[in-house]
Amino acid sequence: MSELWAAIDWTQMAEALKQTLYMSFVSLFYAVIGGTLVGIALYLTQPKGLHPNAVIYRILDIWVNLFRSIPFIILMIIMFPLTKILVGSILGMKAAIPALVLSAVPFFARLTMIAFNEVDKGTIEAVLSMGASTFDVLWKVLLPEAAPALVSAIAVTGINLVGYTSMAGAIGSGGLGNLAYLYGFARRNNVILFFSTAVIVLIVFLIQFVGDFVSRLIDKR
Amino acid sequence: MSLIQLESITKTFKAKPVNIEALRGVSIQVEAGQIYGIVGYSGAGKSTLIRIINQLETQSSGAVILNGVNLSSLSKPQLRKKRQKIGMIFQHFNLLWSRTIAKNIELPMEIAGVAREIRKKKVRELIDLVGLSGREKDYPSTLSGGQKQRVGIARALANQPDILLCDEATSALDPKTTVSILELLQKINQELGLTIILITHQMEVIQKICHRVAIMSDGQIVEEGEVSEVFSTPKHSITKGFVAGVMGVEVEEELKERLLSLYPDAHLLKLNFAGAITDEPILANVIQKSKAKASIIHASITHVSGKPIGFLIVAIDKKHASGQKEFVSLLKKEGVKVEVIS
Repeated sequence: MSELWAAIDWTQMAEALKQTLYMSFVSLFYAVIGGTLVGIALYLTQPKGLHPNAVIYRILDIWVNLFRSIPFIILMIIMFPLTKILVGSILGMKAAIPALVLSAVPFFARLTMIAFNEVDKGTIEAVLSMGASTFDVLWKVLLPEAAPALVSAIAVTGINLVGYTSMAGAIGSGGLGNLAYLYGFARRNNVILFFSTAVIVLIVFLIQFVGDFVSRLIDKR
Repeated sequence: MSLIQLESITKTFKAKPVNIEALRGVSIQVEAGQIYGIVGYSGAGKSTLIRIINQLETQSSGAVILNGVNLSSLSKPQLRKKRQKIGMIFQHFNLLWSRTIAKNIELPMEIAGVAREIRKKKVRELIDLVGLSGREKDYPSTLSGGQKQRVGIARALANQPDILLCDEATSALDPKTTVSILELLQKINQELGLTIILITHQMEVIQKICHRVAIMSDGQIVEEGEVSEVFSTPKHSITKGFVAGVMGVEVEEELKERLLSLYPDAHLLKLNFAGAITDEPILANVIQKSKAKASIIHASITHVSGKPIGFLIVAIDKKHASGQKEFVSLLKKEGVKVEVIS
């Protein structure tokens, strides 16, 4: 047993964990901000929305569908030139962020739009009858009433991003995926392979658990 | 000038294969302080009409004039300001589940930019007014339907509106709760002098609290008038159907036919009572004086806005028809409308 553990370099493992968490949560942060904004725009401009605008809606809709359909690993590769300009390098954990964000923004935007569309139309009509502006509707109705769904959306997006960081790791951005691939798979160290996988699974479970918990906590329905 | 004037309102919804004409030239006037009811079957256009009053829907043509101001002439911010003075309550209450009851009532004041302390004070007053003291911190999901509508009413009153729009406000409630909500609306009308426009498919609601009523069918108003007048002498067939429904009687034509076949050997007279005269023992007096052998074979009396309204059908045997002429003229002298059926 102790021989098994001896196969793991703990400093390396801790460093990889740190990198995975960094990549996942930094990109989640930007993805939530960007995705919320795009989601709001989609919601407002959709046909029968509060500010229907066929041109803006079509453009955003196509953009979202397009970037959601490009496999992440390919997206990351075709983004290398842009990443180089933005980050200055295509290697390391920071270099993974632009591709991670760009893949998660459309996903989160779509989930945001769905969450807003689930909000009872009657409550929106009610606040409009009170003389609410579009900002009031967003801030006082849509965001609070959709909050449990948005929290679940954050959890799902976060889990996706943890998965993507592993793929990013395989092409040089560090993290647990990189460890599993480079040291576990390529150097045939099964202990590292399984242990880093187990850590990734644990992170995913934890995100889901916290997401469910918070979502239930704020749901007063 | 009337507080609310709707002038030749039309509304057409674009649809395929044919456009839907929801409203075809509706004009009504509502005086300040009135409870004005609009009744009609579903699809009559009443939801669209009530939403045009606060411009949640915009009319295809026609004008909405509130207090002399044509709403079409307002800019969007001006219209929002105007809406703050038009409260609205809904069939399904439309409360925000994410906010406590107190916070729900506070919402319109937040939108209107009322200062925090004033908001809190007003919330307390309103919670008392609608009888929900102690429930401030609860969430709507813990309330019954009737209580939710009370929160809806408190919320609609938060910005001291001039007008309250009620969109089928009691249709999702049981009969007992309906009565208590109607009493609350009546109290608000009397104590705050608030003008109320309500739409409903329940004639009982009109009977219970409205002063005036408009009957809608197929995007048009087919009859309009004081409630007691409409109830005692309905003219349009749709109105007759509604009135018959609430009086618990058959539609007049069917009733007459049935009675005629039951009493082939008698003259049938329909006596219409309306208003205060029904307090007098008219019938007893008249029968005594005329010596007509009249027997009551059908009766329906109800109360509308506190006044008794209704009719009797009496049969006088054709063999003993001697007193009938005097019977009729004495009744007419007392202000009873007499209609000879056979």
